[in-house]
Amino acid sequence: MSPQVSHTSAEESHVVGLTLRLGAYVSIGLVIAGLIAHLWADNLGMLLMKTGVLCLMFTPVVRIAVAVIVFAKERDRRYVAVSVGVLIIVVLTSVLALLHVLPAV
Amino acid sequence: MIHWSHVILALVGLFAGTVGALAGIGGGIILIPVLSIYFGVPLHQAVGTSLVAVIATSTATSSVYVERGVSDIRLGMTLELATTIGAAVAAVTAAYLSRRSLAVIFVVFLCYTATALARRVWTGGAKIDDKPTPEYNVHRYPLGMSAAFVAGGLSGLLGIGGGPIKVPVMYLFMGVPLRVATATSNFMIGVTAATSALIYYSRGDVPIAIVAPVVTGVFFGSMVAARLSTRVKPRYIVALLVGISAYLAAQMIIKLAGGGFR
Repeated sequence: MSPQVSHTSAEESHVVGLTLRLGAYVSIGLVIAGLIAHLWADNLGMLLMKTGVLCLMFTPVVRIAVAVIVFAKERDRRYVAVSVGVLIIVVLTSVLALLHVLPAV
Repeated sequence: MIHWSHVILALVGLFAGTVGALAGIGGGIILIPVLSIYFGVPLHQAVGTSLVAVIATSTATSSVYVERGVSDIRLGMTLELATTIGAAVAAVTAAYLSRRSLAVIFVVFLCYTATALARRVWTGGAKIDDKPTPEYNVHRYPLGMSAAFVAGGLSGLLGIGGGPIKVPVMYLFMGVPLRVATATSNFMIGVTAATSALIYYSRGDVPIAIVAPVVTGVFFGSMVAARLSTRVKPRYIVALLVGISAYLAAQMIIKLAGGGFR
């Protein structure tokens, strides 16, 4: 075992890492399946690729939500607040930009 | 149908993913010009593609680094808070800011960090964290938060990712080892990119037929980079960062001289 380098518990690394790995493999799996399916069936291929890309786009957001839960389980109030803050801002800016209230940055 | 262009797009993605992941900045600075100039992809779609590629780099590298404890989740989340607030403030105040002055400030910053990084390599300072898992303490949180805030704002307003600001700040000023700095930056860039990518997607500026092969390449390139990074000497990564900063600065100076950033 390597020594603890980051200021992160093993549990946090494990759960957050697992979320990211799951998101990564599922989305890239769908994209590759879509690229292959595209050879025979245009529509199916496109659908798979789209689903894969959307999965990829939501993975970072899901990762923040998972971090909130992990920090909450550890009763680490400070980092619950930090990650809830990030989640709120990300969701809020996305929604406001989608509604054309804010310019997209 | 699969054309040769798909294979070439995947190879471009592979290269951009590897370089972007090693430096901790995402492959956008390679992808955007290559897609728009050589593949004739409209700029908005090139940016949309690059945003999805940044998420792929972030997710692929973090799926390796987080579990190994190389990405500092707490530091990453804290700086993310500043980055996302910076991006939101930039969105609200965009109309009142002079993009030209911001670009000048950014060029000055890039020149400064490029010099500081180059000096570290020159004086052999980059050898200090040659160990794969060095011990460290994070210093100067307020400075790092301010830098992340600025990075979040600039990344949208100037169309550059925040990585070229975050990595040098963590490494040079916050006492974070280079490997942890790049891994943590890789961890963070996905969040910022996800917000923008969603908006580009809703406007139809994420062309799936181009994104799919590019992202596949980026994904594997980032995976290779994540596994290689323990074997690449920090001084080479610092040199890569110096090169990227210098290139970005030169590109922005040319754009400024041509009357860009109005």
